[in-house]
Amino acid sequence: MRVVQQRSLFHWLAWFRAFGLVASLLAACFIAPAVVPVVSAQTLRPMPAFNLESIDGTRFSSKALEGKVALVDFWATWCGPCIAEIPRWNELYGRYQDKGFVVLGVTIRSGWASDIRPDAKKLKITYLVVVGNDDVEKGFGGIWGFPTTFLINRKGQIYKKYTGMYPQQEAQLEADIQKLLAERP
Amino acid sequence: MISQLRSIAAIMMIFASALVPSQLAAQTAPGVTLTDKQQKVLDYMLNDWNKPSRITGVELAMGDVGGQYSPDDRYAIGVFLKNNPRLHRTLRTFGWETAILTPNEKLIARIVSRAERENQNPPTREEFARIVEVSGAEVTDALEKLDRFGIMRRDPAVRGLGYRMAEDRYQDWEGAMRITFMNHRVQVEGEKPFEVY
Repeated sequence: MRVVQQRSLFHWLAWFRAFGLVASLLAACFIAPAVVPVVSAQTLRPMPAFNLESIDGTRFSSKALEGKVALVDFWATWCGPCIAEIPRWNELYGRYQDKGFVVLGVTIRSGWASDIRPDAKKLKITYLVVVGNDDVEKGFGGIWGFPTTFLINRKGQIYKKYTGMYPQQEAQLEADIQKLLAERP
Repeated sequence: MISQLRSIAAIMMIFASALVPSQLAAQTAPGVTLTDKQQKVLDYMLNDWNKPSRITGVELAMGDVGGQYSPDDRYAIGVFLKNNPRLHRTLRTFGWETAILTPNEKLIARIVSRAERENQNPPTREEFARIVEVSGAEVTDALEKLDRFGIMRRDPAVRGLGYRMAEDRYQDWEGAMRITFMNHRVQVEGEKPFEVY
């Protein structure tokens, strides 16, 4: 008897869910185009402000990224996958820098600027490399794996966070960069 | 009345500090110098760190070098490493804490660090004894060492443990890529044990 009652309950629940799904889809058709951009703009988190030492000894302020699309790559000199990504960052930087795209390598757990400089030279990094610290890591929400890359839009908001390396990442990232570059500052 | 008591306490503390053995005072001073025996351990570590992925810590190095070493020896070497980051890139990369803590101290620090970050109560000393598989006295000893190195501090408000991380920044040091509170000890046949990152 109890089994029959449960089946009956599941039956009604299934109908209720189906009705809800159809209603949601219908509602989405009418209101989604207007709502989605507003909601996504509100949910994007601003990039934290930072001022870090670059490996050439100068200071770099996050203010310098204003109005630009930035790829912020948290990496370490002893991290194999991070090193493997560097040629891709060089390539993207070379391809889009004229359109307002910058790459910033934030080096963490790799020693002082004087330690990192020879590594950056050896790895032929063409973009700016700075020395990270606890504050900048915390500001970006914590770095729990290498490599961790953030894409920042022209409004200074964190558009996406990419963790690790995966096959589709390159195409996805480039599409995101192109999308953000097309947006107005 | 309270201010008088404070003055008396301050005077007593000054007298007490004067009675502390001069050797211990020298060990804790910023410009600490190492004894020959301690220097031998340091040399062993620096040589180890020049090998790929090696990060053998003080405790293991003291065992590998051989001879009698006390907790004060480890503390002296630890303070020396803390004050001399120019000694080796390993210190600048992973921090002096990585090289001076024992595996049990690291495990305790890592668990407390995570609990604080997630706003949860850390395990009690009894629970730690079970987790780390050591005696309660050894847990207390590890907590005291972490306190002495300034990584944790006493806080009676933390029920069951009585300690918390000394600085908020340590709460983010639990991640997989922050190896400070991690330990990877390796034993290869025919070689002395070593640690890697």
